Amino acid sequence: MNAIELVGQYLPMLLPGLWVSLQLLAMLVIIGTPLAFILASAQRSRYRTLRGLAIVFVEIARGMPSLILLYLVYFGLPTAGINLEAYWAAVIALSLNYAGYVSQTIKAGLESIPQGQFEAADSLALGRWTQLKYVILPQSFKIITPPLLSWIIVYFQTTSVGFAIAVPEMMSVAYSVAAANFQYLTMFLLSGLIYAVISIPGSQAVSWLENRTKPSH
Amino acid sequence: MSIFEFWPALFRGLGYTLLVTLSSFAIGLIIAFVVTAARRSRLRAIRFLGTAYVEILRGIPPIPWLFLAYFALPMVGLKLSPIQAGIAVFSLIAGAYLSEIYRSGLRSVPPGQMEAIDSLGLTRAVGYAKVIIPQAIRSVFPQSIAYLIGLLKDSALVSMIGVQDITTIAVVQGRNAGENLTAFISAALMYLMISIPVGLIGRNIEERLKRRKRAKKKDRVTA
Repeated sequence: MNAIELVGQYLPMLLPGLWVSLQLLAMLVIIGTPLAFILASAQRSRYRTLRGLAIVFVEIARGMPSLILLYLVYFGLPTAGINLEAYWAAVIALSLNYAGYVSQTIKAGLESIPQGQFEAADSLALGRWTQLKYVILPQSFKIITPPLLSWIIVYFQTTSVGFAIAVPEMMSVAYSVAAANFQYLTMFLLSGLIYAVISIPGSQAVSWLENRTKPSH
Repeated sequence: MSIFEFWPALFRGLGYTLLVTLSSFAIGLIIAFVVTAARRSRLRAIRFLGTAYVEILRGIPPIPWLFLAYFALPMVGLKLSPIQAGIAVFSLIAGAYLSEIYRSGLRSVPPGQMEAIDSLGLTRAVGYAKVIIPQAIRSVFPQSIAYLIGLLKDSALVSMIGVQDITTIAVVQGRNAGENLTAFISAALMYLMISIPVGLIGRNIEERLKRRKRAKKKDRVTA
């Protein structure tokens, strides 16, 4: 069989796996991003206990390998009486892990807003929520967006750890097809190629966006 | 049941985790040097190869690389042990990420400095060694330490190809003892116990580098 026939035969088999990877990514971004905002705000809170709790949470969520966090949720929690399907275990573990990293990006974005802006908003007697909505968020949004998109690309790749607990994402599919047909080289090259074809243009687009937004500051 | 039950076994795994992490980091530092030099070459084709290397290595997650090295290479006649495959893959990946760090470090040095070197009639090699690299190192160092910690965490993925690292030991021991939660909490603590001190030491050295820079500036002012 020549290379083109191999690609024609095996590439379509990976697509259902890719679809699961993308769903997993969407779920973890939808859950993880608001969580990251909460963690970032909590770290800037006036209350010491809240700040402390947020810092400890962030350090734990990003201090261990994502694989260990995944195993803790999937294999560890049943010991404590909580049983989750592999897919949901992956969503929860990766959301926490992602939120840990992204909260630091968001925190840096919020910190980049000059102190004078907060003071000006205070002197205009704007409420906390109004300040955030009309003054702080619109400005930090521009700064946060490029690194946030980079994290999303990183986590597209990280969904591959779902393999470890047999979530039917792309690597699990690649592995099982490879083992059944003795096509290790083809399957791992093809799956690698799919990751690359999405990640490389993705990060190029992010750096383009970054360069475009920078000079305006 | 004590949380320390798994520690003797996990310490055996720690050896493999550190072996993979540290040797990949060391080899990666050298690969990154070559790749960065290629990316700054005068020849366009060489520059392109350097950039392609970085983009491809970073564009594919570690698991497909590990599977290619461990399961697919034997099909083309190259058989690697799990530990060899793990170190080979993470060295190549570290080379790509560290090269990005070197590059941004070099970019942090104003281009006027290289012009000054040229106008003084110094060779480029001397210019890099005496002027550019000592300045670039201030941003390269902390970022490399951060990457080292990232590499430590990523090294857990070598458990997918059967290296007996911390993660593999936690999986096996936890299952055998029917104590998964304890086993994984112990493993997590072990990773945290390495990454937190390394981070602190890194931050300490970073502070010192900054202080030295400030001290030098002050000397210049007073002199």
